[in-house]
Amino acid sequence: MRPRVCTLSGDDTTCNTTVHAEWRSPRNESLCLFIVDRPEVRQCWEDHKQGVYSVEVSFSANLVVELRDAERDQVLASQGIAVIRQALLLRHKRRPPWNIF
Amino acid sequence: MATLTMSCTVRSTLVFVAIAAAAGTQAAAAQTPCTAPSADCIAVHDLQVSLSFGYGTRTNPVVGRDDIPLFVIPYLSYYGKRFFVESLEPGVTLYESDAHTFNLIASPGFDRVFFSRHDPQNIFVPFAASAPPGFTDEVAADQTFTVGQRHTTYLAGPEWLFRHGDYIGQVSALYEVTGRHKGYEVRAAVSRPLIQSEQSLVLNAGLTWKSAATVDYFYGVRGLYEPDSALNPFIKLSYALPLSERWTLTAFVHYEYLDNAIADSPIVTEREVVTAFAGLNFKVL
Repeated sequence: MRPRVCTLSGDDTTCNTTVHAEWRSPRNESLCLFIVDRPEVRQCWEDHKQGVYSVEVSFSANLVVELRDAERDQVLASQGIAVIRQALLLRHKRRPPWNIF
Repeated sequence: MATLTMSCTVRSTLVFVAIAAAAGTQAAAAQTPCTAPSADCIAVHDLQVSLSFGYGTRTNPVVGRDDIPLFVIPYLSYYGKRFFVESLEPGVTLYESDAHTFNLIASPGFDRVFFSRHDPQNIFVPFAASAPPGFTDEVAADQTFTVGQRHTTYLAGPEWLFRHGDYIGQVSALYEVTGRHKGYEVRAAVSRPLIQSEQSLVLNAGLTWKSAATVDYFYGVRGLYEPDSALNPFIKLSYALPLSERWTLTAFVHYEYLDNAIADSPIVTEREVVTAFAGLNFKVL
């Protein structure tokens, strides 16, 4: 799955990115891919050995993507996308009173 | 007498620097960290550009020269991790903590603004005073002398800033590096906000010491007046009231009292310089 990290810089508050997920299995499976707490994102496969899914997602906190066996309601794999806020490096500003600027 | 005057001014400067140093030592115990962008803190790599539109004036103490009107005051600042530029003053930070900053800076000589409208410090101020190249001494009316051209000068040297609670102090020791007079300046100032809410009112007070070579370059008259070093105290009051994200109501008044070494020059008629401005500041970047 990719990306694994989204870095917010400056005044950015939201990651807008395409999440790309891919799975493979030695035998046919009926699986669903979910993003935790995002019920609108769901992709299911019936009797497949592999699956590929891409979706545009906007998020401002860490995401968890899960691959589940829909029939047994069992989580087979789970991966996270971390949101990292670039630390704002601050420093002291001069205020020379001699000039008019 | 001249020697006595010089020793007094140097002593006064050293005393001020010593007081500032003592205050700075105490400042280590009361650090003022930068936790968010503000008037005193800036994000690294942040470029700030603004223009102040309004009306103001700077009185001109030099004989025959008009006061300098101020209509537009530009401002630019950029701070990298080490390098910075603050309008006409570039510099490099050698060390910075919450309480102390040590820089190497380059700064223009301020006195040239009284002699040329083409000085970089006047160039952004339309309609600044222009004047003929020579003067007639009003004090000794029977003597006429031509005063040579004053070039733009730059000084460079170390600068120390220290912060203690609401107080910010700064001391710089500068040497003229553009080869015009090879003089020195020591600049020292302390600032403190009187009001620091949505609006701000900041008081600055300080001293500028200029070596005899510096004073002579600007205010000396060959064969007639050879000045000693000068110690000029000043006070500045600055006000700002943000009106929106980009517009700020701004005003300041700056009063400087000229030392006898400058005021006694035959080309100087006033011993005070007052700069005042009120207007609106527009944040471009």
